[in-house]
Amino acid sequence: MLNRILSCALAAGLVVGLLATALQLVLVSPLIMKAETYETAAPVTPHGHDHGAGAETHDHGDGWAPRDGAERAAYTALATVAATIGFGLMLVAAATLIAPQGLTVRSGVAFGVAGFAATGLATSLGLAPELPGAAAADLLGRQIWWVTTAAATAAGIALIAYGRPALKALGVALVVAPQVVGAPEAAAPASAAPAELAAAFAAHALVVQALTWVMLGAACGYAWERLGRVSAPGRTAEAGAPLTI
Amino acid sequence: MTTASTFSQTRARSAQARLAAAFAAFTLGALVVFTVGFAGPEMIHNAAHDARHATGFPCH
Repeated sequence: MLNRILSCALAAGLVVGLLATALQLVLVSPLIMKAETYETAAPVTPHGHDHGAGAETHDHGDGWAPRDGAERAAYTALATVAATIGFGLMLVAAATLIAPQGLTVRSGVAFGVAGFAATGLATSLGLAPELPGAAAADLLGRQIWWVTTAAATAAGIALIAYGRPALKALGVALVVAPQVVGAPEAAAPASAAPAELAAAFAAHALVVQALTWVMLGAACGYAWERLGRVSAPGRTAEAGAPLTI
Repeated sequence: MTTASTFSQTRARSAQARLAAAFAAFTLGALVVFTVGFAGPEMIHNAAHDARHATGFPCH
């Protein structure tokens, strides 16, 4: 079972990760580069760039960083493929536990949409995808809110979809609670890049995330079905009955 | 031992194996996502920089 989950997520994550990289390089990376030109034009302090009151200090440090161009794109590809495989592993693992009919292309897309809702939509309500140089609160606080929100929303969606009636209410509470608490906010809204660029970036990043999640879900479902046919020809998926939540 | 109880034991074992495999895969996936999206070391941050921004992870 573990082999099937790993093979499925690796294959789907690799293919979709490369497609996501292409989308990112065309739709998102140019906006990041453009923002960096505003960022470097801003007044610079000895360690990092100071974007004025309320803006965070954006410091890449003196250590290694990929050179702009092919090297930077290659590392973006590596990171994107790795993240897509990681999300794929979590998606297939969750589906293995709770999908009644096992993973199919159709249910895979549904899991992909749920993944996007948890890691893309819910987190964006508090922390919209941010350009380099955007004003922001303390990094650790935002990271904790992001992870908690994604996890609570994913668990909430699972309970709403598969839980008994009483648990569905808990599911709604889990989805709503992080938004009521709210994400840590910057002391003052000040950003090096123009608002138009930041808005375009948030929209483009969310569209790419949505496409990536839907493709990942579909690819995981397709790979799961194919691997099932290879390992047990003539038999249907081995997922069996869902665990009762 | 009846066929029914053997069947239910097999079923329970299969559910346990499924739970263990799913837990292992989920943990591995979460570790990979954490490394790409949240790990502190400067080298990882700089390598994954554009992917972090595009994926909506808090980056700086």
